[in-house]
This record gives sequence, structure tokens and C-alpha cells, in this order.
Amino acid sequence: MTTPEAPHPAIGEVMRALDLAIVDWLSDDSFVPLSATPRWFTGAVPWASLPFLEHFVGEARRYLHDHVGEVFASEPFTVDNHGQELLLRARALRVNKRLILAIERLDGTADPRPILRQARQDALEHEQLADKARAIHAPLEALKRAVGALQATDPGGDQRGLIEAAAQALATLQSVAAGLPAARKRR
Amino acid sequence: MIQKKICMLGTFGVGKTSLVSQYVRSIFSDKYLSTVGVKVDKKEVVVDNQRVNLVLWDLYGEDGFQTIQQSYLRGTSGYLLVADGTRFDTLAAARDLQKRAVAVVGKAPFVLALNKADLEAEWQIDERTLLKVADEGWTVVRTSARTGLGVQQAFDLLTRAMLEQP
Ligand SMILES: Nc1nc2c(ncn2[C@@H]2O[C@H](COP(=O)(O)OP(=O)(O)OP(=O)(O)O)[C@@H](O)[C@H]2O)c(=O)[nH]1
Ligand SMILES: [Mg+2]
Repeated sequence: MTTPEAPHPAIGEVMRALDLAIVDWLSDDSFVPLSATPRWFTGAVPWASLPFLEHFVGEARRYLHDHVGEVFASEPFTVDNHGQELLLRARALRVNKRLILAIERLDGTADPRPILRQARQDALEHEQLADKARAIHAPLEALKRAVGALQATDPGGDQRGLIEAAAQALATLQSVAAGLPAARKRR
Repeated sequence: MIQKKICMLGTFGVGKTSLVSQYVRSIFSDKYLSTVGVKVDKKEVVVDNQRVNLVLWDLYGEDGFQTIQQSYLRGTSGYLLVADGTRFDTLAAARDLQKRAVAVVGKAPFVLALNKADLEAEWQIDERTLLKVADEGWTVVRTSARTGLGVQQAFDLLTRAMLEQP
């Protein structure tokens, strides 16, 4: 097999189809694409002055200086592209002293947003429910005292039956409440 | 022009994104669209006759699913700590984040925004707790990303404090 001098023309199309932009990041913080870039890359984002990338490139230069041959990856970051929020990830590596950046779009199953958003929404709702559950303990205590006081009055006929019914309902409530979160400790 | 990096720090759902959106675009939405990854906004302001370009880093809120990468804090001139006045524990989370921020950025100025001030009926953070925080020298501002109350003030206080830094 021979090693071609220039990259095969198909490579550019492959990168574009895979939503991958490969660029040579120069020391003056401008860049040169190394192949055809995806459509979102040629959109409205000023990549060279994007604060997230500026920061990432600085971190990457430091890291790759000490870790020769490794790849430095960013966490996901978002950019606005014609009103659409793209989730991207950048990876940096040194090839023949050049700083190469691969910026890829995370979508479909690679996009963690739907799952994380649902998880946080659920966590928030769980917190609210737990708060409501906590709020039940104080009135329940008050009810217990009131029913106890009523029982101590030696009530007659009809009333005794009602008070016993209240006491039974209270006992049921208490056993349910025992499984709910306890009053919050104020720090 | 002077450029200052500000990080928004606070646990999930306290209103970091909403505060930035109110401050930069005067927009508020009730919908909770949790931030995944980092989103950076810019805003040019004039404080005490000085033009400043604020670079606002809206980080995702920490929770069991994601923890803040400390490297994001590097280069930060100041940070807005955000707690949700209707969720008591978010204040402790803010304190915890503040300690970790100090470890990376040292004595950078910060302001605590007690957000969701419009939800008085659900308010959980009492005056005594607040006094304790103020006693430690923290600057505390009640904010509402919904009504806009205190939002400009919180960012202005932070910007001034950053400009006073040597
Ligand atoms: N009533 C009221 N609701 C608010 C306020 N600020 C934010 N919210 C709501 O609180 C929820 C969370 O707001 P976000 O701004 O997404 O919170 P966040 O801190 O960015 O959350 P993460 O990105 O998950 O960390 C949303 O439903 C907002 O509409 C406020 O001042 N008042
Ligand atoms: Mg957010």
C-alpha cells in the first residue's frame, strides 16, 4: 500500500457527514480547516474568538506540553447557531508540532441533554414532594395531642364513637407518615 | 477594553441561566431547561464611566450527575454564587462551591444572589441565616430572574468589586 501525499478527497466528505470539523489551530489563535467542514461549522459562530475555545486551547497547550502524544478533550459546550443551540465537544492533539482541534457535534444518542434534563427535572420535583411530605409532621403532632385530649374528657355515647374513629384514622396517618422524610435540620 | 470573566456558580435549578438571560437579554422563561455543558455569553457594560466586556460563564449546576471541572474556574475575575431562596439546602451548596472556588481562584470577589425573591410564600431562608452570611462579609442581593429585581444590582456590585481588584 502506498501512502498518499494529499488526503483522499473522500475524507472531507466523511468528516462533514460525521459532523466533525478538523482544524489546524495556529499560534496567533486563527485557524485553518484541514478538510471540508460540516455546515454548522461555517455558520455564524466566530470560532477564533469563542471564549470557550480560547480557554480550552490554553488548557490544551498546557496539558499537551506535559503529556506528549495524548489527546485533550473538553467537556460539552454549547453555541448558538442561527437560534439553534448546538452541543459540541472539542479534542486537541499535537501532530508534528501543530495543534490540531477536532470539534464534533453531539447529537442523537451522543447528546446527553434529554436524559440529564429529565433527571434534574425529576430531582427538583422529588425535592418539592419531600418538602411537602415533611410539612405533614407538625400538624400530625397537633392532631395527636387534640385527639389525646378529647379521649381524656370521658365523652359520652355518640361522641366516644366519633373520637375513636378519629383516633383510628390518626393511627393510620401516623404509620404512613413514619415512612415520610423527617423534619429538616436547619443548618 | 477591559475584559472580565464571571462564573455563575450554584447547585442545579437555582436560576443561574435565568439570571444571565434576564441580565443579557431581558428574557425570562418558566420552563426549566437544565444547562448541560458550558454556555458563554458576553455583555458590554459601563460601570463608573468604564467600559467593561463581561464574559459570563454559565456552568451547569452541580448534582449527582455532573461535577464542575475546576479548570473552568481558571482565569475568573469574579463569580456570582446563586442560591434559591425557596430551597434551604441550596445555600449550603453555595457555601460549599465558594470554598472550592477559593481553592482555584483565590480571593476573587463574589456576590451571593438569593434568587426567586418573587416567590415569597415559599421562601425558606430566614433573616437569622442571612445575618450569619452577612457577618462573614458576604455581599448578598435578593434577586428575581422573573421580575428582574436585583439582577442588575448583583452584576453591578460584582463588576465594581472586580474593577477594584489590583
Ligand atoms: N419564580 C421564579 N422562578 C425562577 C427564577 N429564576 C429561575 N426560575 C425558574 O427556576 C427553574 C430553574 O432555572 P434555571 O435558570 O434553568 O436554573 P439553573 O441554575 O441554570 O439550573 P441548571 O442549569 O440545571 O444548573 C426554571 O424553571 C426557571 O424558570 C425566579 O427568580 N423566580
Ligand atoms: Mg442553567
